[in-house]
Amino acid sequence: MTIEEILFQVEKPGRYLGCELNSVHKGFDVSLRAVICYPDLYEVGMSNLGISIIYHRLNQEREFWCERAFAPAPDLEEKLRENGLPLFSLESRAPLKDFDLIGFSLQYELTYPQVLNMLELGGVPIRTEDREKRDPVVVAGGPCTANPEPMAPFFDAMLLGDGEEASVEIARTVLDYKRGAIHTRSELHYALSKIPGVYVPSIYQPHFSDSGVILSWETRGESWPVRSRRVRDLDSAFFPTKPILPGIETIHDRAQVELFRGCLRGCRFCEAGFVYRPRRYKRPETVIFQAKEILKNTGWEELGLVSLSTCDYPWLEQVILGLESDLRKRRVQISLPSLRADSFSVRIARLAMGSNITLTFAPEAGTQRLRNIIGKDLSEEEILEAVRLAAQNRFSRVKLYFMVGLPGETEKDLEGIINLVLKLNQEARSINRKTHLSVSCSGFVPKPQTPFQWEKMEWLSELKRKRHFIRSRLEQRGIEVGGQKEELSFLEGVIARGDRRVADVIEAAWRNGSRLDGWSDHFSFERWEKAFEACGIDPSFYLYRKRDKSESLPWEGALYAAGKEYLFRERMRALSGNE
Amino acid sequence: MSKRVRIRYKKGEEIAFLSHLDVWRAFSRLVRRAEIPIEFSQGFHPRPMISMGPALPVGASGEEELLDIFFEREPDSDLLPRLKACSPPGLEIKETWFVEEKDKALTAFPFLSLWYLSGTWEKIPEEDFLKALLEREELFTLRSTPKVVKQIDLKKYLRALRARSGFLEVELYSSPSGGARLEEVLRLLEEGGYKFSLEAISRRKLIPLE
Repeated sequence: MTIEEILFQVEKPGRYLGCELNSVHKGFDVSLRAVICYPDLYEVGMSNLGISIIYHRLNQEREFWCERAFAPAPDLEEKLRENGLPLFSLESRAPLKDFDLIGFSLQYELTYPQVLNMLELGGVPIRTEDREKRDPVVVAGGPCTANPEPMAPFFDAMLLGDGEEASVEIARTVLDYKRGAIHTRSELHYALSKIPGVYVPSIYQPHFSDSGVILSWETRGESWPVRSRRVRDLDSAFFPTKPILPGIETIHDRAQVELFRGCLRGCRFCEAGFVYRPRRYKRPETVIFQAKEILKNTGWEELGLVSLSTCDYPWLEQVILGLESDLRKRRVQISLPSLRADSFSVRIARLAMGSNITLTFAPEAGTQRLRNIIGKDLSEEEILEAVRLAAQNRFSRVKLYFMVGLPGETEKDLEGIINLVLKLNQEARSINRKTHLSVSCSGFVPKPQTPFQWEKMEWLSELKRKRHFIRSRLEQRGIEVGGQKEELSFLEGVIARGDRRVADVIEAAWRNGSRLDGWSDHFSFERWEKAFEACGIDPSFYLYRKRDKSESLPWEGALYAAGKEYLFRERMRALSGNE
Repeated sequence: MSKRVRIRYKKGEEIAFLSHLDVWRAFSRLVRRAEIPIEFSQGFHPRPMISMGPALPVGASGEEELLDIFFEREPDSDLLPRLKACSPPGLEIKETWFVEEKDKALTAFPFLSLWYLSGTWEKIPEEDFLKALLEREELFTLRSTPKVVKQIDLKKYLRALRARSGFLEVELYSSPSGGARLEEVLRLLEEGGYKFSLEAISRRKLIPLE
């Protein structure tokens, strides 16, 4: 069977098209062939701005051709395996093993088994140590490289931080290797490690004690730790204004312009807030120019102004007003993700998007005391005012995000969530009976590179009990409570906080059949439980103990703008109840 | 002259796997890129007024597909080149002409369509077999919808069949109230002992019948 014949037999074959508007097609005579991979389905991967940036940045170079590959849906994977066909890139339908350079975007820990799946299906040895001269060089980037270690055995190199320029430098080094200027794989690894921001796992070796903690790192005289890469100026940095227009509907099917990178809020639980530091603004003229260009080049009917905290962009109104006539002429809607729960955000949302949308606010915790601990700079009065305003402005849906299992949390804080939501609900309904509140409540994962990286995670059973408690109380009053399944938070915790030994668990879970675990209909906790058992790895070692400051953490080789001392001071301030 | 324009276009093989709705979306974006203001429907969720002709199945290409676009005002004479310039890979605008705004919708027409299926025969059907099949009084087959399985008669829809090595041509009649599906036609042949493995589907002609 050919790929075309197989596509007749799978769902949504439009995922595997490859000739979408603005996709890049060059000849096989380019010097270097790269493929950027996203370990999830097309509709998720095509919504990712990072993929779009790297794809178009590499293709800007004449001697490179960068293509795309996404996770095959289970039905396609089955057909490929049945027919002995390899996973292919979209543009040229070439097997992944034919590429010189393969790059993965790591956005979410539960997609890691899919990385191995895509490599193996593409004919590439999954472990670096098994790759030979003719095999592709496999690299990774994205926010999850903030702890590179759990995926260390699978990548020749991992990029910490921004990829706009580093991606090109990595590709040039791989080209030197291909041309013979660099002879061996280990020489290639040394050359890659000289690129600022590049972490080469094979060079650094952790040594473990009998109890499993890291005693020391062998770094073979190379610089250690690796400082993350940062683009200084977003105005002059590459940004794709002629992005690919997907053939099928994607989860964020809209033009996206980044307003700024980083965040000034400093919420202590938020990994992105720390790893994307420092905050760098794009000038409003650049935003307006890029937005207009993208709309002209794609015809999208919606424009997303994206960042970690959109209403903190100082020129937001200026940008919206500056785009207004163009957007009205084109009948383009604005979408503003990541709004704060304050009245300014509601006004901006109303101005930009109308009231026919879901407003999403994240109070995160139910009491002022706990919000202070986690550094969420938001008062109850602000939240109340935001919800009041939302109701007055006839927003019909308001969604509230909370976390349970936060450091310093007591039963009173859980009561606090319930009381706060009921109060907000009452207030909203007294103003506008059509305004509906819903709640999302998920287990907190103490993430690397944050002040809470030393904390223990809440017990799985406790996370379940806490959400159940909140849900049962709120659902009596007709308020829906959703959130991430606790087992997913548990696994996210083990992997995010894991060391190099967790790689075996990831591989075992993949061999047990883990593929698209981020999708609830494909998730199975059992496959992971078996994997832990088979590898002799105890998840509680990674989750359920406070780590001492003197302990060497698995992600210690990855250094971001906020160093260890700063994070530790923040932690002490948090636990002493300071804002 | 009118604000309503009928478009004949080709859905190429390279985008055969896009759905009917995907093609609709591709057109709405094509027109946006061409910067020709389009009419929007009324109501809570205004949508660009593009009404498609009879749907192609996912996996099929079409040489002469049809759709109507309602513009905000009568478009200028450079409409065709502007649309052509903004077409994405795989969509080719062939012809545009004005249609009375009050005329019936494309979906209200009966159609005659000519399908060309490429693939391989286990055994090529003989002329006599096809002739006899078309001359039968009734051609019952089963159609399953998500809710029920019902029996339908393909007799009034199936107009002609031509089989040679490597392909099958099918001429089908359809009306707003119904039509035959290609897999149903293939099933009839398979029941007669002629199995066909499909490699590509193309609707070569699509003719609205007044």
